[in-house]
Parts: sequence; C-alpha cells; structure tokens
Amino acid sequence: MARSEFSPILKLEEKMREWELAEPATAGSYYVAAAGSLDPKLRFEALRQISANDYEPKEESEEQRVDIEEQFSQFSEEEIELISKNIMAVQFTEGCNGFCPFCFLATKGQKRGVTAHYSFPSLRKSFERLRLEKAFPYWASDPFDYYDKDEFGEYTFLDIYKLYGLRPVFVSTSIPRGSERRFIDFVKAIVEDILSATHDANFEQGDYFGPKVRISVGKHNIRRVINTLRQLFLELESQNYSRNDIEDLFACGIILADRVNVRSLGPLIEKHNDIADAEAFGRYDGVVVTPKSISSRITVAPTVYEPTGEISIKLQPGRVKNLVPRCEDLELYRMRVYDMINYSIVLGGRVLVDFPHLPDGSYLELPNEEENCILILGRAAHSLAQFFSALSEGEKARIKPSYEGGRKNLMRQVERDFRGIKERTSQAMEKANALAEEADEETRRRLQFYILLAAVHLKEMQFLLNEYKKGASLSELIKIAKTFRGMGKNEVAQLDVKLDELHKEINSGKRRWLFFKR
Amino acid sequence: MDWLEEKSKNISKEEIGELKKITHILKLLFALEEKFLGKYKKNGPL
Repeated sequence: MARSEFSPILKLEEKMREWELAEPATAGSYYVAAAGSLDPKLRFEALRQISANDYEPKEESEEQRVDIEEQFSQFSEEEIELISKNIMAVQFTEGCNGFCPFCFLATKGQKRGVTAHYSFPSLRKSFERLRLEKAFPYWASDPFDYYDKDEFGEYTFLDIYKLYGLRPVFVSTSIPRGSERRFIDFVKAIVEDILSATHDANFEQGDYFGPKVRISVGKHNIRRVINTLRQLFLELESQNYSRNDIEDLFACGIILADRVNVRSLGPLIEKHNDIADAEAFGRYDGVVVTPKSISSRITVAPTVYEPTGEISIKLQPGRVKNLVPRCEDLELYRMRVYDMINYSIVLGGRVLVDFPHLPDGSYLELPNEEENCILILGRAAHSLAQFFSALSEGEKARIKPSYEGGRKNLMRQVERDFRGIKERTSQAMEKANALAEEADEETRRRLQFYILLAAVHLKEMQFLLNEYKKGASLSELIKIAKTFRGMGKNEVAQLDVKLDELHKEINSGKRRWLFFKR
Repeated sequence: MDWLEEKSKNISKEEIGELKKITHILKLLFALEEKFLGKYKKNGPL
C-alpha cells in the first residue's frame, strides 16, 4: 500500500495546485540550491551531483568575516550601553540567499545574497554583554544562511541557538538556497525541545512557549521547502520518531506561513497603487545590528519614497546620543484593539501607535528638519493605518457585533490618543509646507506627498470619530474602516462618482424625507 | 463600498462633503505617487 504523505506536505502540494505550479522538482533543485551553500562539504557534494546530472549550479559567493567585538570597539562604553539596551534585531549575516520577491534589500540597492557574516567566537564572547539574546535572530537576513569556521571547527545557527540558553527563540526562514542541510540538522537538534512540551497530557496549543520556526513559503521557494521537509521526515522516521510526533512538530513548533499575498513592498513597490499598504512590514522601533552596520530603525508608513516602511539612521561613534529609539514592539497596539473589541473588561492603554521615543521617554527628533517632518508625517500615517487595519479586522471578534462595551472603551481611548497625534502632525504639516516653499522640486514633491498622506489619514480618523459620536455601532465603524482601507486608485474614482450622485439626489429634494426621519 | 450603499439611505450633505475632501486628497496623493513611479519605471531601480 502506498505510504500517505504528512499533512504539511499535503498542504504545500495543495498550495502548488492553487498557484498553478508544476509538480515538485526532483533532487535536481536540491543540488542546485545546495551548490550555493557556504558549507564547502555541502557545496562540493552538490557540485559533484550537478556535474554528474547536468543540473544548473548557483554562483558561488565570497563573504567577509566580521568580529562583532571589533565592530563595537569603536563606540564608547556609554554608547554601547545605549545601543545594547535597545537592540531590536541582530543579523548574523549581511543579506541572505532566500531571494524572496518582497525582500527589503533589493530596494536599498544592496547586493542580494550573503556578503558578510559574524565570526562565531566573537559572537560567543559578546552575546551576553551586548544583550543579543533579547534581540530577534534575523531581520533582512535568514538565520540558516549562517556558516562560519575556524581552526577549531565549523559553526552554524544551531551553535548560536545554544547561546540563547533556555530563552525561547523565534526564527523565521525561507530555507534559503544551500541551507537545507543546516535547517534539517537544526530541527533534528531541537525536536525534543518542541515535543517535550506537547507530551504533557494537559497540553494545549496556546500553552506552547518553546522554540518556534516559521517557514515562509512563496512561489519562489515552495519546491525547495517540500523537498527539504520530505528529507527531514525521512530522517526523523529513521530516528524512530512516530508519525504523530512529526505531526505534533508542525502543530506548534514549526509553522508554515504563506508569504505570497505580501503587501507591495520592497521591489514590489511598483505595484503599490493604494493606501491599503500604509502599514509597515516589520512593526518595531529599535537598533538593528548587522556585520556591516549598526543602525536605528524607526517604523513609518511604506510609500514610494520609503518602500520598506522604515527610516534607518546609521549610528557612528560620537553620533549615537539622541538617535537611538526606545526599543518597542508596535504590534502590541493592534493587539490591544482586538482585545478591546472582544472584551469589555480591557481598560486603558494606548491603541494608536505614538511617535518614536528616546529611551528617556522624550520624542526622538531628527537633526535635519525635512527628514524630521517626514518621520512625523510617515509615522502618523502608519499609526492611523494600523488602527484602521485592526478595526477593519474587527469582524473576527468572538462577540456579537451588537456588543457595545468594547466599542465605547476603544473609541474613548482612540479619541484621547488621536488628540496628541493630530496636534503634532498638524504642526509638522505646517512646518513641511514652509520647508517645501524653499525646497528644490524633488524635495518639494516628497514633502507634499507626506503632507497629503498624513492629511488623508487625519481626515479619515476624524470622519470615523464623528460617526461614533453620532452613535454608529461597532459593526458600522468596522465597515467604515474597511471602506477606507480598500480605497485604491480605482475605488476612489468610483466613490467620487457615487458621492456626486448622492449629492445631486439630495439637492433635487428627492430624498429630503429621509432627513426628517433622523 | 458596502458601507456607503447602506449609508446612502441616510447620508447628510456634511458627510458627503467630508468624504469628498478625502477622495480629493487621495486623488492628489495618487497623482504624486504616479509621477514618482513614472520616474522609477523610466530610470530603473529606486
């Protein structure tokens, strides 16, 4: 009898059919990918197989080995303290071999593929001092691209993972070309950490706090993912893991994430034709440390001018103070919106993302006036867009739409938060207008763009608040939010026509009786 | 647009005015974006 596939493979094969892709490639694609590996043994074996089977190899890459201790040694102790307390993410490699179509790097004019990596001994030495264990182990990089070697041995992300100790690590990967073996070995090494949690008789998925690996699946890598998982399952079975164990792995510790319907960011910005994409991709403020730079990163709305939805400031010795944002997860505000819609008992706490703060709690200001205006306007747009996005998803609420307790708590908080945002944004709009008058054409257009972007978000929020004050129900507010979120180039023209028709109807007196009823 | 369909039964002149202001700003925004993207398409990567 034919052996049945594991559920993750079945899901991926279904995706292949949905995306109208051909059947999974055979071993060829694995070896083509492995030929780009930084691991010489793996690369040699892959090249040998390619040569024997006439597969097409990937170009080899040369990379720089960076000592993180040396990189930080140029900063003063005070600066290191400030940076390390606010590190949001660390890239163990510069760039990655994932080649995801939405990747940030290509937009910034950087070469794709890995160009540098940290030496493992220097990471091991600095891990605790630089508080790297608190940071995401990736940003515009993939942990499984990491490979280092010295006279004492070879090192992969698995060695870095051990430096985290008992702290649960969240890893996101596309299983980049050439990293398949490292991914398989990593999962085999942590399989017990994941399964030990699920073996508890009282275990529920929501209780899982162990390591998590998210595999980003898109059209560009789905074949590689299928091939790699098949190999992983074979090896796990040969180690006597049961079918249930393997299915359990994918129930909590390993997640398959569909990354095809990503927003139009990075190189896809050309397809960006509405404000539905006004939310950034990575919603964090903080410092990102990479082998080639140490930079502050502040979340703003992604636009044609800032396609990654981030303002990045390179930190240099003597130029650190007042440029390091307080490390913060901005997604928490969205979660609070969900909670307030769902449960009336959640009281207080901001729901609109504030402007970026310095660690001392004051607002971060950029020294260049134009850039500072763009930071404020872009951030206000992100803040309001994130709220509209969260509210528009409010119909996922577990309570009945008629429930109003959550609505009142939520909208009272929105009113409070919005006052501050509106005031600071309006000041920045005024300043940007004045700067635009003196600026060259390109800068003027950029400033005007951000003024309009902020203005449209302010107007939408004011409209929503007015409807709330007139007694709009939660489901009506959700529908308004959805309408604003979906207003692209085509929709705005349609809406304009519809509004003109309604205006004519009212003026002609046909609908006057409706207003007497209100 | 479902919301507007429902709302059109009792929408006021003021509300239409506010929505018209939003669509006006959006059209200006899209026009500026288009100009920028035109340059991008002509000159290659950003």
